Amino acid sequence: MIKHHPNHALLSAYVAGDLSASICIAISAHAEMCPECKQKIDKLEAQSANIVFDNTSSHIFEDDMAFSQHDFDDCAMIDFITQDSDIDVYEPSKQQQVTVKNTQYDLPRVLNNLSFDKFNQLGKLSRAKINLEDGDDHINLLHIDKDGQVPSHTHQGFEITLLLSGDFHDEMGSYSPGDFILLDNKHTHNPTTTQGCLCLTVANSGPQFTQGLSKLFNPITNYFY
Amino acid sequence: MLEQIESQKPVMTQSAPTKLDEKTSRMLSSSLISIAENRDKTAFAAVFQWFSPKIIHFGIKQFSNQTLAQELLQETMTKVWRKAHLYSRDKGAATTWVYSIMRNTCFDILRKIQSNKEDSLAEEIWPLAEAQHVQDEQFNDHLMAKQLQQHLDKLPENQQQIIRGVYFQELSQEQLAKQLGIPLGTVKSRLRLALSKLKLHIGDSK
Repeated sequence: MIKHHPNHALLSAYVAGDLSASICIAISAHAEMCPECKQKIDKLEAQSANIVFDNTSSHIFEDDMAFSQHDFDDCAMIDFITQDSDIDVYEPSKQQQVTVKNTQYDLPRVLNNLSFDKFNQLGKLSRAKINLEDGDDHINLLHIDKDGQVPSHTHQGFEITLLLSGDFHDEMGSYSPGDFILLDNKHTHNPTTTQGCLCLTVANSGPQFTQGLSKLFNPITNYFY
Repeated sequence: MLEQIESQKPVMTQSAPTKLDEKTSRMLSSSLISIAENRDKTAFAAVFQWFSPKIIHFGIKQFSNQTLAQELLQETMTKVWRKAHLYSRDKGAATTWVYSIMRNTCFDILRKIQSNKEDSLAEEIWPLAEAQHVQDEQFNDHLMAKQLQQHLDKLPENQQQIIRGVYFQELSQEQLAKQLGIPLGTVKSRLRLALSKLKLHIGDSK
């Protein structure tokens, strides 16, 4: 059962297209697994459409039209668009799979046309960077092998973890596939898995390790994000 | 009583969005369907004129730039023209569908400005056609679809029924006979008639 969802504000921003591509991808992947959020998104989309395309408020657009020579442009643009009667043929894309430590996983549909690097391994952790230029936001596939853990850490910015398959738990609870977990620098956690798991992660800074020897990693923490 | 009186007053609020009236909403969605089925330019012009000031307004708010707002309008409406076959009434209001196209276009334009990337990522994130609709859309997406549809419409209803059953619902002729409650021989002869007429029509138009 999915217990952790993007909150209302995040879903609204997603529907408005106001989030970074990486965060949008994480929410889209969550919605594929979560009918409840999918439904909320559809509803928010209908609401946004009603606000943007509000029939009664056309008088407020006079300002825009004053400097756009509207009527003339309209006809020219309509002719230009309709001179070509071709349609865009919809080609369904193929779902991608990854195999990590001999286990094969199906990836979410939203990743169908994205490419990712080979998995880098460090102990029980494997990470593959998804190729997407997106400012400070980085998006990765993170695999933790059976009985593995990510040492206790926090983030300077935010970290989204979407559990795609398997299980993990941390100080705040235990998670099942589809759970969407958003943490910021107020949280410190130590994710641990028993059967192994594959996650999609988005973060805008590397982790800061907070305990023992793993602190030694802090200078090379970019490896993890 | 008071409620009745209130509800008879025309609604004149400026800020709160009101739901589109039934008539407009029906006009928009049947126009989209007519664009898809008949490449109907008049229907497109109507849709264009209804949406264009609203899209320009939205674009100016997003980009604070008139040229980019025009680009948003042109790209959004080009997609409406080219992708109308992906719209269907059961996906909801025409306005919601156009909103998603506009939001996607806007997202890609912003991404082009910010990261210099032209990867049309928006349709990966917010797909217009969903995997479960693939089967329905195979026919729509075929290049011959429009032409075939027109020829099909010219056939008598009982022959159309057979063609739809066999080719679009992939029923066997036996299943179809059972479903329509007619003998198998009738299905076969209607199918033969329909196919030879279709061949003739399509041959004609070339």
